Amino acid sequence: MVLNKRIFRELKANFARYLALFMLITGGMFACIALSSSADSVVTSVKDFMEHSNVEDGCFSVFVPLSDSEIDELCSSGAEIEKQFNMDMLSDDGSKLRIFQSRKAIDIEHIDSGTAPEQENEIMLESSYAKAHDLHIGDSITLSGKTMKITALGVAPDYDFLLENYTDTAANAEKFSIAFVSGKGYSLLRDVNKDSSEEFLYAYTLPENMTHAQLKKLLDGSELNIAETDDKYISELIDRLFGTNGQFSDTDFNNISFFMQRESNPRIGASLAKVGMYHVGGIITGAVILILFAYICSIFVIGTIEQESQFIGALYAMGVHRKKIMLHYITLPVVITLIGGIIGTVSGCSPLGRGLLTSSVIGPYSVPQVKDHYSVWLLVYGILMPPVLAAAVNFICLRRKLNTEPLRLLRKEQKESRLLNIDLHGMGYFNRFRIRQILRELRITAAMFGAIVMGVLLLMIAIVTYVCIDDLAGKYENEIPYRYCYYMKYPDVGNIPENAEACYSKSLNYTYMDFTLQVTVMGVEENSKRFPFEVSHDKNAVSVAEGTAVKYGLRKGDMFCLHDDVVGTDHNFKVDSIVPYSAGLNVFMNIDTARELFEVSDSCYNMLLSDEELDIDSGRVLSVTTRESMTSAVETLLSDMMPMIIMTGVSALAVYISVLYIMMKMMIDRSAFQISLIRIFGYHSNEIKRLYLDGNTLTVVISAIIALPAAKLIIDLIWPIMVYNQPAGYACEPRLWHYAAIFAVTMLCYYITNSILMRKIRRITPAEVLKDRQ
Amino acid sequence: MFLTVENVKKSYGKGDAAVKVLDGVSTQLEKGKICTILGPSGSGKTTLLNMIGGLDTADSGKVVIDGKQITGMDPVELEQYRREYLGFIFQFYNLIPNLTLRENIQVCEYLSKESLDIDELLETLGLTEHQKKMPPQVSGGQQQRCAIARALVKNPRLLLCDEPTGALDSHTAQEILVLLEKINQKYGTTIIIVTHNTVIQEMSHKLIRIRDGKIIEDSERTDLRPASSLIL
Repeated sequence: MVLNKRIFRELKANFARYLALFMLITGGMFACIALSSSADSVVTSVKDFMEHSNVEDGCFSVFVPLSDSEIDELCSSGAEIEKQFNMDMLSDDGSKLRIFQSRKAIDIEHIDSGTAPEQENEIMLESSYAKAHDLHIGDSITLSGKTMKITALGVAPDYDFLLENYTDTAANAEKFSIAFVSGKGYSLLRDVNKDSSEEFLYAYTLPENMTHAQLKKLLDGSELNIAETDDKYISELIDRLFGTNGQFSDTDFNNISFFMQRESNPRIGASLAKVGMYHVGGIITGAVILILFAYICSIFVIGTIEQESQFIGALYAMGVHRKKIMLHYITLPVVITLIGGIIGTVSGCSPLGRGLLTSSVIGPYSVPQVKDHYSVWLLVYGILMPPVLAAAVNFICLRRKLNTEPLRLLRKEQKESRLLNIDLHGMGYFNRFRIRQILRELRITAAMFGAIVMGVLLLMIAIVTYVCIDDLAGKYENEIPYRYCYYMKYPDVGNIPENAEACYSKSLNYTYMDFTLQVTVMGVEENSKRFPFEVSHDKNAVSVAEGTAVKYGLRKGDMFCLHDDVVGTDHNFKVDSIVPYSAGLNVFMNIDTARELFEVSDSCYNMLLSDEELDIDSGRVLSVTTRESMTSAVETLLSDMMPMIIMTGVSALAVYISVLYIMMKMMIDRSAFQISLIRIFGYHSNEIKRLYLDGNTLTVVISAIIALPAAKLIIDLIWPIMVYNQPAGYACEPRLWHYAAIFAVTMLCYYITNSILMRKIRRITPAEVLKDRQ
Repeated sequence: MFLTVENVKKSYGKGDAAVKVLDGVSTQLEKGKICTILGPSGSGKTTLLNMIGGLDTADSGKVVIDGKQITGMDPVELEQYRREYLGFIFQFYNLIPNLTLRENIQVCEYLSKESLDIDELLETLGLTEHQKKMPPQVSGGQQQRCAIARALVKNPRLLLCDEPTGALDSHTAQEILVLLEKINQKYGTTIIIVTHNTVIQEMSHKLIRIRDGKIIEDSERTDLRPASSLIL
């Protein structure tokens, strides 16, 4: 059809408009596909890894190792049990490595590169630790004076999130990680590290017909075999508690120090939970871009038809079929969006898109090398959705417009809107003109409003994420009332070291949005110097830390139900007060109340807080956490999130500039004749700008003013979902200057667009009117 | 002399494809007179009007208005010239569709510090009761009256009318011509009317007839007939 020759001319004539539309689709699909396919690849790789490594169903640790017969008895029930004893060792640079023996049945480590350690002086390092310390296969690492040769780098499924303690907020592979050695190697390191404590950890998998509770019941019947350990501290403890030595029944002393199902373990599958969110985020981003695009597309179509109504009317009058005209107008947007969709999808799947985001997505997690996974439906979504949507929107708009009789088209008759005729009497000339212009271009104004709401939302997400995590690091620095926190391996009743404060803590589970995190019940001393706030003295009530209250939306008087996996009971606490503490997830009560609640002796403690390093036998200490390491972990979380924060911010700017440019340019194009006319009357370019462009200032300002609280409302709704798997409460409270900054960026983008379009206005000459006349 | 056009030449296209639109046109017009430019389509009459209006540039020659040479002015100077001196009336009214009739007139009221009273103009042009309507809501004649009011409101020294009655029926066209005559008499506005309609010359002080880019007749008229007596 000869008419189609016009398609290339239309593209040439409105190149900037189609380019901006193309960029919007390409950028939108790039972000959508990059996010979703990175997430898909990570999910597929991690799930495969978890399956191949036979990830545990749960784990438990004991004070005294189980005897072989006990393990056999447990295994006879169908469960599979594997010892995963471990100990923490310091390397020369002060970083901590948790040493495990290579596993054979459960949570089998995955080797990314190299060969499994076989000799006693060989070690496999966790990959992200090696990367952070620039260590490679063939290098050596010294642990407690013993030099080990690195033979492999890899990961383990039970340390997907490298948390030193289950209750930690963030991981920092530079400070803490895991390593694997052979059986001989473990014995060697245990020898050189014999004064420090060893965790007697067991991982288990259950047969289909067995529950965690059934296994737990079997374990509760296990005996305390002092003979199984050479740990003098447990012997001392039992002596102190019971005044004797030997074997005890479960009624005297529960050998299980903790029992945790996989679902409650924050170290396992954390990347999947996080990545799932990115996947949904990617799809939503794509959908929002497509909706915005569809709307812009409909504005284009309506504008074009209105502009070319006489030409269409003439074709109609001469007998050209509506179908052919429709096909003619649909072709260009469909082709542009198809190309945009293909390029966006391909670049999103490329190392550029996927690589950039994969590193951001898996940054804080220890996962095996991600294998590219291409989801067919995602490719179809990215490539076909934009052109299909363009065709559908164009079809609907064109069908409605082309139903008009040829004569009405020839006469350019349009439906009158009552809105256009509103009385603006008494208003100044310029304002009246601008309001009429806004009313005339109401669709464009609506698209600009939509773009501004979307841009403000993206900017607010970027700023709020940055500020919240940055604030949290500051709060950790200021609010954590100790430099050293010693987690005791066994509940202690000995003398409390000078300058230290004892606490009794217990980690319980709380499930929120189908995700279980550990909340620490901290029993603190009366008139504690480190926690200078009133805490509950009622064992059925707790003082909730501010961060925890923020995370779970708790208020004074609410009920907060925590589950004890070890005992298998629920604790229904009433929220007695909210206390100013943001680190981790904690609730507080008086230490004596906590002792009574958890049925331990009057002077028992399991945590020591101090501002200086304590001289305690390392064998008594399970692990030590410092304020510095906790703060540094949060800072690491922030640096891991930076690519995502930057991409969100850049996306906001791209949406602003592309949509504002497309819409304002269209507004000018539609008004070109009028602009030309008033130029004939003698209006200067600046006056024309005041009439035709500056009205948009009002649109942008009002849109931004509406969008700011609207974005806050939306963020309030989605924020808990965004951080649901983070073991800390991030208060999402943008400050005044954040609003001001977002408003300033919005206005800056608008003024940049406005300045670009000013050149377009200058190029409109009186000749436009003459063209029409002639 | 208020307007002097001196040996103005204008061609469109280049080389063999070049078409001479104005070929050495010269004429003069006194202040406060009505001048009709007649000629067939493509004769160059609108191009001449555009030259005078500073909307098009001459290849050579001079256009001087009120002592100011407008040929050779840069776009900013031309803008200022149009702002100070000119009013335009077009064949197809060219009203801004999303402004009321009154607001359309205000578009040009803004440009002058010595603008005429809008209410008086609306009254004179019979638009008072329609002033709050949008252009599509009124007839072609009322739209053209509004266009005239818009052109006049800034009290221009020169009113350029390009086929002002071309889109109107004869009765309405006559009403418009009566208005133009009234304006000329009331405000002393110099008016140039480009038209196909030979009858309009009868109400003009001067007639310029153009053919193929050349003036073939340039005459002063003394036997003027009032516009109301013209048979269109």
